[in-house]
Amino acid sequence: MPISQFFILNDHGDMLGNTIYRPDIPKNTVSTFFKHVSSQNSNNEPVFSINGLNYVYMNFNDLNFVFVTTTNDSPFTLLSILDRIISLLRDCLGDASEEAIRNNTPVVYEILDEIIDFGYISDLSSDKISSFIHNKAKASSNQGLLNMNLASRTKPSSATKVPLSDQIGQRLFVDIVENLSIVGDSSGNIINSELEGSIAIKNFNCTGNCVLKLNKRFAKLEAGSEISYTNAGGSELSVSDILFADYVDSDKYTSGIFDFVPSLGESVLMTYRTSQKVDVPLRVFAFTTIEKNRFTLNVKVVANAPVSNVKVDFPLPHGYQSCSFVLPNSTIHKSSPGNWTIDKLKEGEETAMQCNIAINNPQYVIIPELQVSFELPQKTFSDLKIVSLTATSNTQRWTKCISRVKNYSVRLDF
Amino acid sequence: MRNVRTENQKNEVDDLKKLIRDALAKNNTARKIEVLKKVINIMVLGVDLSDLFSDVLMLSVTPNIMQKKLAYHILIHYASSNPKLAVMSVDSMQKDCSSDFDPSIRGLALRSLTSLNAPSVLDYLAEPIQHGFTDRSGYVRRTAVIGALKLFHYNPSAFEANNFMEDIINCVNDRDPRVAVTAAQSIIEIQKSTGGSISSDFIIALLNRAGEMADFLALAVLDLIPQYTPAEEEIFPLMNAIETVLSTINPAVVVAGVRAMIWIVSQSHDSELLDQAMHRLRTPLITLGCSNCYTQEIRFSMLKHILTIVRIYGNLFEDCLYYFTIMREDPNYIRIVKLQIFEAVVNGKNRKFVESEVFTAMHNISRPNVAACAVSILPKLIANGSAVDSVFRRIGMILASKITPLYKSIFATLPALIQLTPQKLDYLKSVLLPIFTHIPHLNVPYLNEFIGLLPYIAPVLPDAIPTYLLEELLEHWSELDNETQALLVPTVYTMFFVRAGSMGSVVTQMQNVLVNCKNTMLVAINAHHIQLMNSDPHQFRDMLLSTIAPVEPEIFLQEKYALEQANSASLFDEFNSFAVVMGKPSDFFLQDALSMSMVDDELLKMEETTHTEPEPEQYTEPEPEQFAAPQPKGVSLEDLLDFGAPATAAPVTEPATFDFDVTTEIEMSAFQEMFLGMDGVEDSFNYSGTTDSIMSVLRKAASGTNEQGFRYFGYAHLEGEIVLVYMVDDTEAKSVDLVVKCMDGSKNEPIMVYLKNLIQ
Repeated sequence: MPISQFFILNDHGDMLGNTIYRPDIPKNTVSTFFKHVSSQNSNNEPVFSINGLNYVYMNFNDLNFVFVTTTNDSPFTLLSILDRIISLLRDCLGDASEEAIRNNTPVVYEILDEIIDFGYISDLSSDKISSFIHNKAKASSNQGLLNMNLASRTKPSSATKVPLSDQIGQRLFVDIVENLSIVGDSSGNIINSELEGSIAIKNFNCTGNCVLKLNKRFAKLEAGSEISYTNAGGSELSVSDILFADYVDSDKYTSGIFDFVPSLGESVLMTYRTSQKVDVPLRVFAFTTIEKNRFTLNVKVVANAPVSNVKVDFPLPHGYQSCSFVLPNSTIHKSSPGNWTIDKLKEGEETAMQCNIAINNPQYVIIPELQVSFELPQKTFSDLKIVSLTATSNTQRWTKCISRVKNYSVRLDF
Repeated sequence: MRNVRTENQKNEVDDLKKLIRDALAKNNTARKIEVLKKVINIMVLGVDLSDLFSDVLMLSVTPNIMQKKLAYHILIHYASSNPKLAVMSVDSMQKDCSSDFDPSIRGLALRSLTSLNAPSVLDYLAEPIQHGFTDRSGYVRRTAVIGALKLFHYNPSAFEANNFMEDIINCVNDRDPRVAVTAAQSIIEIQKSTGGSISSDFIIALLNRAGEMADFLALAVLDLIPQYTPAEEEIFPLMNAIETVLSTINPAVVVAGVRAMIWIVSQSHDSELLDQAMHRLRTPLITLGCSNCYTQEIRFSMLKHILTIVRIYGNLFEDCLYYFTIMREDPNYIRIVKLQIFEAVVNGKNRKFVESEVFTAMHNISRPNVAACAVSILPKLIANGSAVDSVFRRIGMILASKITPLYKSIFATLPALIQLTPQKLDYLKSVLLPIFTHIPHLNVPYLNEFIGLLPYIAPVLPDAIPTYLLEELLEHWSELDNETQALLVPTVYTMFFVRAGSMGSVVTQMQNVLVNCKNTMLVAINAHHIQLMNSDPHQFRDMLLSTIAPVEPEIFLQEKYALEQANSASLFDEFNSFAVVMGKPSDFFLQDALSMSMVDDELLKMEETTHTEPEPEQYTEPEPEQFAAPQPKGVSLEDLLDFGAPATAAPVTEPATFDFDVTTEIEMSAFQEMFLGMDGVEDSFNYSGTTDSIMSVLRKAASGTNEQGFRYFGYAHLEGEIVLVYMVDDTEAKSVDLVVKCMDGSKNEPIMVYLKNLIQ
């Protein structure tokens, strides 16, 4: 598994950090890497091999975190280490952004020297590493938000973007993040949907035991068994797969109560995915008509629950001449041709849009699908909630729900 | 410009020197740390600050660990360019190695000392490493293990003299799991170079402790399992132990678990158990490949692994294909591998779903690379019963809308579509005629596919069009790249038989063009074609026309995907590695890493000068007689069809050695075509080495493709002539069947003797 080189390059090719762990590679690896990822034919594949050297990279905040190796290693191991390095940088610098890294290059090198020696990784948990990191990180400009409204019952999400080393007392942030992927047809029917969720933790200096109680128990379905259709209000969530961090006793998940000592910094407590049907809070209907040289696309969205930040994207036909919109009310914003944005929709509200596209040849209109994304504020799709979170007495505790549909594909008849 | 920059750099170094001396004079720790941070910030930009070495060295002598770390980091960075000064840092580091109060200083010093990349310090490493092994801190002991590994690479004799291997082996039982795991990894790396066998005892010892380890250490232990052959009674307990790993959140641990599970099950030689295990492994594989909880880089790597699996176990994911639906946020590289998975699994039952995904991707022309991949799947959809009209209507729409980024893929796919559905040629004529009446610009990306398609659609094109196109291309011969030239030669011969009436002049024109062609391989291929035409024109015609003849769907599916399937089967052994993501066995894309021994630049220069001294005069053995390469000459069509007398073979001198040129790659289809048309010699014999050793010998003689690990298709170039080598290796009996076919048949025997000697 030995790693020969690690470097951080921004999207313009500027170097932010470079460590050679083994002198078994040529000197032109950085330029070879940049040349490859800048070429159009590469499709930006994150794992590739050139001249007998393997490159693995992860793009985060427009920065490329890259490993170079000479052996036939596991790409998963290398990608997981990269992911962990990014988390460590977020823990130690507050964020893994270009600004934070440029401001704290010596800290970055200190971390890199501690976690990898001669290409072999040491322990990668923030708990262990932080005792070996002696340089202090400088805060980035956007981290000033932290000190606002300390007495308030809410906090901005940037509150988690501070270095662990800052003396901010004991704080514990717990997020439930759910992602629903949907494929639907043009009549608003759902062809299939898949829900993925995770409980993420950011722990600032909380060292004691924590107990997290959820409103639902989990039941794991055996591979290939039928999916139950309990509604979202039930007390059980059937999952196809459920995974846990190494500090959680994975045998006790069925109770919905987790007793654990969280590792320092950010970590994911658990993830789950389920094909169990959930109520989709937004349905999309689409109709197309072609008349002479005019192609018309009618889109209607119906909200069954309050939703926000609705975006509807549709590729315009090849060689279209012009495109105009008919929008019914002021809450709707047209950002650009091929893209329709709605800020908010209340429960039961519906709205529609018509797009008229002038085309050359009605015989050759190709619009394959609409792509929709939206958010469900302050709720989860599965109705999973945190009932209680206990930690040591002087720990400030914060919880949050983030529910998004990033992928809602509406297939048109063609 | 360069001078200005150098001047700037010089000023920068001078300024920093001043700052360092200032900080030293005032003995202010905070200022010292600030200036060291400044040096590191400038170092990252690639500015050479090696002149600061001695100044930074002075800053490294401090009880402040923060200052020490920064100084050591800079010293390590510039040690290789200051080998003489590097020695001066040894003393301070050695002292720190025996620092009493802080293990992190001892560890830092040992790590830094062993990382100084300079030959001048090598003699000073053994003692601190030896001390490190007995340190009370696990952090230092781990650093000592890695330090010993560095010494193994940089100074093997010192490694051996100090018997460090024994120390490392003892560390496998260390109470600190970090030390134990690093020791195991080091042993494996060392034994890979020295060729020793790996004892399973320490793997079992570590497996028993895996439960107490943090995820990345447990991962390293799981990675050891495939080095170990479990006894029959160990199989089930091991499987149960791995089962618990599969619900870990760290993807690397899960995949290492999957790999270990597959390895253990395969050791049981129970195919039913393997099927059950694969079924059990479906869930974690889908989670890693499709869940947004993982980064797209992880999902991509897993989808590539799933692709390899579905090419072997086609129906494993049959009932859950919807997980692979192409999603809005999927980047191109994920979309493409999802389409490849669909191509591998499509059958009569799931065709409708796959069709919808493929057509959607094909119509999304804002992503041409993905659409092009979707187009390439169409023949398999048709072979599985997709509606022919629907497929061709879409192709027609793209061509009529002049979506040129997809032309390359469409022209590459049409030959297979035409072979499957020759009845659609008339429809294609209507959409392709406007394109084929113009010769494409010579640097369009689809020129080769355009040429390749010509013989397939020629039957419906008016006579003048293909003739005109080929004449134009031959007229611009010198502007064409090698690949296009290589494609034109067989195309012209095939067209000659497809449209015999109008192509005679084109064949003559090509022979005249080839007279001045510098590409000897091409001349040789042409000569081979002429030879075939001379010896049996009917057979030659049948051979060429059979490649473009209609095929039945069943035969298409069998032949087109056989190689891919065999390739995946051999890749399956390399599960959880780059090889699977790259889609080819690791032998094909990995090279030997550069040697890691430290080289003193000045010593190297001295060595170079001694080597350039004139050698005393010596008698040398005369070169063995070389075969004369056939001289290309202008050939007319009449010459071609005239059955000329065979050329007389050159006399063979024994023992012959051959200098094969293996730089040119060859497509498998071209290999097959040539192999069928050439005479050769065959021999079976035993060998004494390993499969790997004979493969490495053979690869030096002929580059080629390994199929299923035991069949080798090799190809080389010898003085302008083609040599084909086909070898079947029976690894159990340690015998090979070797076939050698050279264009000049008289060389077959000597080449066979030569290769046989090499292999035996």
